[in-house]
Amino acid sequence: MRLPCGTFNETYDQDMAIVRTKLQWVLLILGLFVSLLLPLFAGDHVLSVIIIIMIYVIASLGLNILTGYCGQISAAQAAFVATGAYTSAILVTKVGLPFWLAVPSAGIITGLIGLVLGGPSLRIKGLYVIMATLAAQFIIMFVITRWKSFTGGTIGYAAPAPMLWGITFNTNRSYYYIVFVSLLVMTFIARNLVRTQVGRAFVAIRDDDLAAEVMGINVARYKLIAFFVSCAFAGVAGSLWAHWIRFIDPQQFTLAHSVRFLAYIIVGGLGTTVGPFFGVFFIELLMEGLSVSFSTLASYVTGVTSYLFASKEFLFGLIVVLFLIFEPRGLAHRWALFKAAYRLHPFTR
Amino acid sequence: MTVLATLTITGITVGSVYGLIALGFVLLYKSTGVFNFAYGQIVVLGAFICYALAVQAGLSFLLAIPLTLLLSFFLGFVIERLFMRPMIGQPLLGIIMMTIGLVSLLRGIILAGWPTVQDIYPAYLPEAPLSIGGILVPQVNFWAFVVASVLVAAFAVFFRFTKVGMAMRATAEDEQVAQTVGVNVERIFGLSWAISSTVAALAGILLATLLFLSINLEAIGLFSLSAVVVGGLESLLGAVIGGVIIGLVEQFSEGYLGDLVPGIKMVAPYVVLLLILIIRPYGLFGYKRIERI
Repeated sequence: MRLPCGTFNETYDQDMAIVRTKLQWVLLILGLFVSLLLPLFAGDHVLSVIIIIMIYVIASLGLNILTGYCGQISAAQAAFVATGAYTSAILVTKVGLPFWLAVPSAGIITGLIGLVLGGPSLRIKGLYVIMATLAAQFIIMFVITRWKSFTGGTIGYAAPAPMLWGITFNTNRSYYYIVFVSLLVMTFIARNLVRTQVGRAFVAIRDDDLAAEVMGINVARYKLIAFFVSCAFAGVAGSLWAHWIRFIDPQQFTLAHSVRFLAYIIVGGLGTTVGPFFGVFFIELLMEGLSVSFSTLASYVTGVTSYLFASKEFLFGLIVVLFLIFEPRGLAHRWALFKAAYRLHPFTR
Repeated sequence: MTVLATLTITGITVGSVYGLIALGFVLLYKSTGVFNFAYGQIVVLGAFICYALAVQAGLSFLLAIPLTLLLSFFLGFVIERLFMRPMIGQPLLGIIMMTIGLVSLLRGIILAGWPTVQDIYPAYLPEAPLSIGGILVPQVNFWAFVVASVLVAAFAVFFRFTKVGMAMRATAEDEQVAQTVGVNVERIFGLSWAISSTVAALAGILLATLLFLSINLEAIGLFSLSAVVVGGLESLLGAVIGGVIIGLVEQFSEGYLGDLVPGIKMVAPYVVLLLILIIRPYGLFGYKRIERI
C-alpha cells in the first residue's frame, strides 16, 4: 500500500496495518456510523435492495478468492449458495439448531460439499475447471429439485426468520443489522486470508501453477482450500438469503445467477477485496435503476414492461462486454487510480 | 429388444444433432482457441431467424434456410469484429467472460425480438418416417444424421488439405508464430467465427425442427458443450462421437431410469461429463498437452 507523502512505516505493525492513516480511520468510523444509522432513514424497498446487495457481496467475496486469487473459474457459485440456503433452512427446521449456529454450520457444510465437487479440478485447469463446475451446478440443482422429501423440490422450502432474546428479525430494518455484521466479519476474513501464506500460495497458483509446484507449493492442497473457502462464503450467503427471503426454491439459484457472480467480480476487479463491493453495487444499482425507469415509462408507453426482462438481460451483457473491452481491470483499478491522484494531488493531473 | 433398438436409434439421431452443434463449436475452438459459451445462443438465434423468414415473412423453407445461413455467416463476422478482436491476447478468464457477456446480449436480442414465441416449424420435410431395419425413424432425425456426417467429412478435408484450413490450425496453435509465417490472423479469426456461426444456425434449424422453437433450446446448446468436452476439444470426429454418446446417455437414462428418477435425462450428460473430466480430462480424442516451464 502506498502512503501519503511524509508518512513512513517505522514498525512492523505499521507496515501490516490495513487502516493506516488517521484519515482512513475517520472514513472507516464515519462509514460504519452511516451504515448503522441507515435503516432508520431508508425506506423498506431501499433496504431490501441493500440487503440483497450485501448478501451477493458475501458470495462474490468467496468467488473472488477462488477465481480472482486462485485462478480457478467457477460457474457453480449460485449452486453453492443454494446448498447453504437449503442446509441452513433444514438445520433450523428439522434439526432445531438456532439461526446463529446454522449460519456457520451452513458455511462449513457447503465448504465440504465444495471440496467433493472441487475434487475433479485437481487434475484439470482453465477451461476444464469451468466445465466441471458447470456440471456441478446442474448436478447440485438437480439433487435439490428431485430430493422432494428433504428439500420440497420445485415447490420450495420455508425457512423461519431468526430469533434472539425474544426479538424476531422479520423486518428489513432488523435483518439489515444481521447481514451487515455478517458482511463485516466475512470481509475481515477475506481481506486477511489473502495476505497470509495461504493467500500468497493462491496467487502463485493463479500466476503459474507449474512454477508454484516447483517452488514447493502443494497445488492440490491449496486448490482444495480455495474451493472450501469459496464455498463456505457461498454457504454463509445462502444461509442469510434463506432466512431473509424465508421461502427458497430452485429458481433462485440458476446458472444465470452463477454467471452473474462471475460478472460482479469481473466488473469490480479481479483479485482485490474491494472489487466485489464495487461490482455488486454497480450492477445491482444499474438493474434497479432500469426497473425504476421502466415502471415510470410504463405510465406513458403501454406494453413497455414486457420488454423489461429482455432489456435487463441486454444491459447486463452490455456492461460485461464494455468493461472487458475498456476496463478489464475493473472498477477497483479506477478506484486505485483515483486514490493515487488524490494522494499526489498537486503533482499530477 | 425393440426398446433397446429404438432408444439406440433415437439416441444416435438426436446425438448427431448434438454432434452437429458441437462441430461448429470445435471448429471455432480449433481455429481461434476461443471456448464460446454464447454458442448455444447463436444456435437459438439461427432457429429464430429462420422462423422469422419462413413463418413470419412467409418465405419458402428452400429460400429461408440459405438466407438464414447467409445472415448467420455475417453475424459471426460482426461478433468477431466488435467483441472478440479487442480480446486478442487477453487472459483466459477475460475471453470466457466476453463470450458469457455475449450470452446475455444475444438472449436480450432474442427475448426482445420474439418475446412470446413458443412454436413449432410447419412441416417442410416429408411426413412419412423412414424405416431402418424395421425401426421407424422420423425424416428430420435421419437428415440431421446425414448432415452431421457430411459436414464432419467436409471439415476434415478442409482442415487437412486446404490452405485456409491449415492456416486456421496454425493460428490456434500459436497466433504469433502463425503471423510470422504470413497468416493473416485477423482474417482467419473472422472467417472462423463466420463459419462456426453458419454451422450453428444450421444446427439450430434442425434442432427446432426436431423438437420445438423456444428460447429454452439454449439448454441443448449447453448439452453440446458436454459433448465437446467428452469428445475432446480439438477433434471434429470427437465432437460428433461425443454428441452421439451424449444422445445415447440421454435416451438410455430416460428410457431405463426415467420412471425412477423423473427428469434424469437433463442431468445424466453432466454426470458423464464430470466422470470424463476425472478419468480423461482431455476427452476421448483430444490432444494430451504436455507442459514445459
